[in-house]
Amino acid sequence: MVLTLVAALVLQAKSDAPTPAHWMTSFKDAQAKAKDLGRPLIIDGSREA
Amino acid sequence: MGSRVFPSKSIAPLLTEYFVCVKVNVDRPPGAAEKLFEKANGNTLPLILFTTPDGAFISNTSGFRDENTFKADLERVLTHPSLRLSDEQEKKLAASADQAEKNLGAKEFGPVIRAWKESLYVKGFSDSKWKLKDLAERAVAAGRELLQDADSLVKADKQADAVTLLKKLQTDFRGTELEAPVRAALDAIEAVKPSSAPSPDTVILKDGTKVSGKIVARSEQLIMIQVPGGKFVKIEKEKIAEIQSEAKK
Repeated sequence: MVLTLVAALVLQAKSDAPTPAHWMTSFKDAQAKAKDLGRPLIIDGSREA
Repeated sequence: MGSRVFPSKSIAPLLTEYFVCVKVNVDRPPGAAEKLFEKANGNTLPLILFTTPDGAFISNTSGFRDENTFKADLERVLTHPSLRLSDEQEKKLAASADQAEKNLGAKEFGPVIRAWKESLYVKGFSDSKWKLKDLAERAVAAGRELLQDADSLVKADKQADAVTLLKKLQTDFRGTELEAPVRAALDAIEAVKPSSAPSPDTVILKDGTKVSGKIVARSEQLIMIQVPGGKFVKIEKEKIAEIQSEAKK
């Protein structure tokens, strides 16, 4: 089985999972950040937090 | 949704690049959030609310949403009037997108990636911003093909050409998902320059096959040997009968 390291890295590049989003836990900080960045805020309301 | 939908390939980049995300306990929402939850339709968890950057309620979902449905939810939020770019911003971004499209056609990937990254700093959303994102994704796909070309060059013992190509990719795709594999590929080639001629380790397999080169890595199950020409051969340890090393003689 011959496999160059670069080929392995090509496969890795294809299968890489996307960077997961960072979920903040401070609502106040999240609001401030949304305003600062001009982005909409998404609030996940569940019983896990 | 937290384990399957949010981390998925079509959702995670949207959340990361265009939203600010926060989790709250729906039973004990903080004061400001409580008023927003009062405006939500439905009561099946999870309740997911969207607000403008200034905190005004836009919409909500109630209950589990699969990946495609949730992607449509997010895209709908991003078309909200409060998030539209000003005419002047949109004009600039449209010109940038047109230029990036020409760059992509000319296989000049660096300017495409830079235009997309600059657009991320523009507050608000528009068709031009989406177009730049699409162009950047197409550039990255083309970059991935070039990474495969670099692999072919390595296989053909054209390491110098591979390094030239990879350094161009490193410059063009800085800050994208290709950055890490390109850097690792360059490091790998650097580690096996022809000047570092393989020392004569010989691995003799149980079927009598001999593989000569330099053992460069060992794990519990595998050893990796670099053979003349710079290629690597992985060998399962259970198939090995004997390892002869000049260094030990």
